[in-house]
Amino acid sequence: MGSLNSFGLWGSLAAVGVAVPVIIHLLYRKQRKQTPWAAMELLRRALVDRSGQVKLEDFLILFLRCLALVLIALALLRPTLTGSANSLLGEQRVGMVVGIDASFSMGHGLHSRFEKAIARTKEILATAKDGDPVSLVLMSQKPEVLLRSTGYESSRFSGVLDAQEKPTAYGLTLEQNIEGLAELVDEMKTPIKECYLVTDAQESDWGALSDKGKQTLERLTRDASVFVVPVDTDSEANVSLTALRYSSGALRKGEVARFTAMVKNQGRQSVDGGKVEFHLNDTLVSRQAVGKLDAGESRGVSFFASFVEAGDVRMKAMLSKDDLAIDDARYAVARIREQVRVLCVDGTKGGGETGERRGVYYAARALRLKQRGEKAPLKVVQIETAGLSAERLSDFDMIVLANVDDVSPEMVKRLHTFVSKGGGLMFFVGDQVKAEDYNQRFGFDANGLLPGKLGEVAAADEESTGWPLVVGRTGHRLASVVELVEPKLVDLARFKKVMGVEVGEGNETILKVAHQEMPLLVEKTIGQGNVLLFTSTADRTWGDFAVHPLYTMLIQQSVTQLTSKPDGWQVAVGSSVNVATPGRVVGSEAAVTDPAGEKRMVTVAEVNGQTVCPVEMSRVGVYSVAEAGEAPGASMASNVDARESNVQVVDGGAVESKVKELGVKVVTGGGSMASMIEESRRGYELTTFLLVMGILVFLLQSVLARYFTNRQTRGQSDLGESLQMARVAAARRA
Amino acid sequence: MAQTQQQQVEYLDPNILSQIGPLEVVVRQVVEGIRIGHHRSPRRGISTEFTAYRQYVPGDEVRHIDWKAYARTHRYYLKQFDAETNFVANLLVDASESMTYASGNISKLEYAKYLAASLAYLIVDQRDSVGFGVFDGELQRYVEPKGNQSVLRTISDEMGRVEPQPRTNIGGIVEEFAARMKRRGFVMLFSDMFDNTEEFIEGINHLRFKGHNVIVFHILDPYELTFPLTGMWKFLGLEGEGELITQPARVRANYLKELESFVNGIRNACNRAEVDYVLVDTSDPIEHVLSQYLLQRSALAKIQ
Repeated sequence: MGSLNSFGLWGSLAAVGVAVPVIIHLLYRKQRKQTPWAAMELLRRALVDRSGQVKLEDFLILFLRCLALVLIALALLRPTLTGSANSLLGEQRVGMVVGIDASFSMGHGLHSRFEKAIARTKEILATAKDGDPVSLVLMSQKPEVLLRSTGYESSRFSGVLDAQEKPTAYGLTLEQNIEGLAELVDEMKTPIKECYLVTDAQESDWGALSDKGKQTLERLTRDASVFVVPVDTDSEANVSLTALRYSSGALRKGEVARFTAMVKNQGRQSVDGGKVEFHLNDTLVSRQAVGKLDAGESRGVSFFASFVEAGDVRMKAMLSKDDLAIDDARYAVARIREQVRVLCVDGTKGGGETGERRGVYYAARALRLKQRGEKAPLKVVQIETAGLSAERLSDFDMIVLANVDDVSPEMVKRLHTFVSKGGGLMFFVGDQVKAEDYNQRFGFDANGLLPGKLGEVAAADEESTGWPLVVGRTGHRLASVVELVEPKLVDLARFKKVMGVEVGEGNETILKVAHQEMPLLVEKTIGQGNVLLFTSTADRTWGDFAVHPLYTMLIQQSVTQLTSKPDGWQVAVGSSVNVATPGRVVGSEAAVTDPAGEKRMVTVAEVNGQTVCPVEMSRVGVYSVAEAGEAPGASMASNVDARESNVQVVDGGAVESKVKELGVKVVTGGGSMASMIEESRRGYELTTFLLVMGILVFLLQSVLARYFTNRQTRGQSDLGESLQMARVAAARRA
Repeated sequence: MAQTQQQQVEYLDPNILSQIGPLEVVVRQVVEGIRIGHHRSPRRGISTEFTAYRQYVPGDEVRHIDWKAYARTHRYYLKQFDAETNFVANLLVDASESMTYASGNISKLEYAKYLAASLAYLIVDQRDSVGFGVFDGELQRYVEPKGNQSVLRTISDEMGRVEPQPRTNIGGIVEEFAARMKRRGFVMLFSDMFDNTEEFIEGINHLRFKGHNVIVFHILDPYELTFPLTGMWKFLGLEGEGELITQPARVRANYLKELESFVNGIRNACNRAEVDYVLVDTSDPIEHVLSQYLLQRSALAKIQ
């Protein structure tokens, strides 16, 4: 026995309902009138004769009234009988929520898994009766409700299902989808609730169900019968492109950069990886064979791209087609700068052991490797601290502060604005940097410029050669500079002094020194820009790193990282992105072209002081915001979630073993599905029955009350009447 | 015909009797109302009926000789009337607390006073004697029977002094009266009879045994007769019977049965003892009750 509505609410109402007549009765008793009475003996005898009967009648009427209210309240509670109850008492209504896995892995196969899922869904819906409430949901990165608690009607539901031709471009977020299904189950008011998850049962989702997913499933099984319906899969072979990213080089006009496409064999067997084609601005620039890939093996395929023009360059890597086409392409955007301008501020005062080779000397040298002068792709301007306030920061893409100790609060504010709008800022510490002063001047909290709170300077023994550096965050582009170099060579880079820093929350430690794992290079994102903090000197004062080959590579890569943001122009499909479009008027219209070539106008908005175009990246490919006058265009790439490309599935038995303890049933055989579903349906709603009974009882008490009253009225022998008759008779005689 | 007569007569509403004036004034109006409504002769009354002829004997008043009979028979005959018997009537009013009940403006006791006073007026008016007694548990006051007009004033004064008491003892009072009355006469009893019925019956049997004519005016309030109350009521006994809480609608049928049984018991006892029984509803105009009773009695006299 259960109830579809809240027992607390309706139970209280029922109690109130029952209490009302009783209270009225008591109040009625309390509000009685009184009168002196002479014929007390007659009344007492009448009461003795009637009291038993009167009480019985009263209690009978009161009981029937209370019973009627209780029955109606119970009906509103919508109680259900579970088990093999007598169907004469209630009606069997089944509420269904069917979630169809519409992640892009469902597009795998000649006859795709998605088509099979649609067919399975139709089989499930065939067990519903007309009018049963059914919800249809497409499950991907979030649940998309196609029909919400809609009365079942075969033709309508078939039409909706047939309109779903292919799955989405998104991955599957199982937990979020199960929560969405649970909400829909909660909405249903039927004695029998069923929830179906029609899926390909990917190993990545069902093989290791998260705790949260298990909890949600368990909660769902408390309210409904939950079925996992795995669809048949022809094969699990899939080779996909999992990434297309910038590897090295400069993203500047006239420069060359290397990009790498990662190809992965997602299947269980070795396969030939086929070929990868690279396109720059839709022009094929390279085609390379991948070679044989073992099961689960990833291989990077690189190509070099020369950039002759500035602006956004659309890049595309295409893999030979296989059973799942959507993950055979990968897109990227490279923002090529006409010129990158770096302002190096040297704060070092007085001479030193290294003479003029102090402060930003080595950094500037590292940046001026190729060309110098106004037209150079990387223009470096070197000044001292005193000249900083005279500079217009917007003329630069990056500012390097080396051992700078005297920065006014106004300048700090200007620097903050500069970074927020996309500029790059790199700090080098030194003898003139006082930790407390810096912390106070620049701030280290979320609104400050520093990635962490500076502390005391740690110094190695004078006899020692200093501390070597180690990678703090594997995979970071700046860390990969170190990772790609021979360890022996890396080990030669030594630091004798490092300033301690407590890295703020959300900021990344990219490099460290071996001593107590003190952070060496820390990154912080502020608005559209980034800040790098190097906790040692830019020159040789605190170590020999400035003359190590890694120094130049790190400086160069830092400039590219801070100014070009090579990974900043691609997002996961389905994201909502504010594409920075400087030079446009807020509120004006901007034309956005999607990967399919469709143009759409969006309104330019201002977010965090920047003019942006809001773009919904619902398709895979490159979205482009068109140029408008002097305002340059901007592009952004969207790609599928690479994790979804793993199309390996777990068989029904394996799924069952994982979810059985949660009370979830797995429907494996095609023929047994209908019978399994029917078998699970045991329950009847008693609403109508109780409502009818309540009304009948109410009518019965009305009839009885009237009968009792009439009987009492009829029972009057009417002495008054006989008196009147006597009077009339006497009058007649007269 | 009777209905037409009723429509023509304007009776005094019992509820406004006390507003009309002093008792005597009201009684006069009541009695005049009866005469205007029903009677050609003011002499028509309970004791002025022609009964028989008898031969003249010396000493009889000559004025009573029926000259028409002499003309027919050449003998002297005297016309004999009941009125000439000069009867004594005692009016006994129950002044127990139960008589104070009134659903409207007039209580049973007040009504009984007006009714008794009206009868007293009628009796004295035809030169008979009338006495008056008020009782509750015992005989409170008693006015000896007299035939002059002054007795009416005395009775009126006594009525004004009546103070209701909680208990009734009709049977005992009737017994006491039977012993007290030396000469045969009329005893008119005005009461709601809410007392021991058996003792009452014994009392009136005793009266009848002594040759008295007894007339019982059973006075009840309309609410006591019809019990029309609705809702929840608390009934407070007027003579120390305690309280009762009930819904009258629920017990009405039984109450009315009990009432009928009670009234019929008294009526039957009266009939058996050849006592006139008049059930009076205090919502009925007094002159109406009186005239109906007098008509009824005269009709019975003619039959007998």
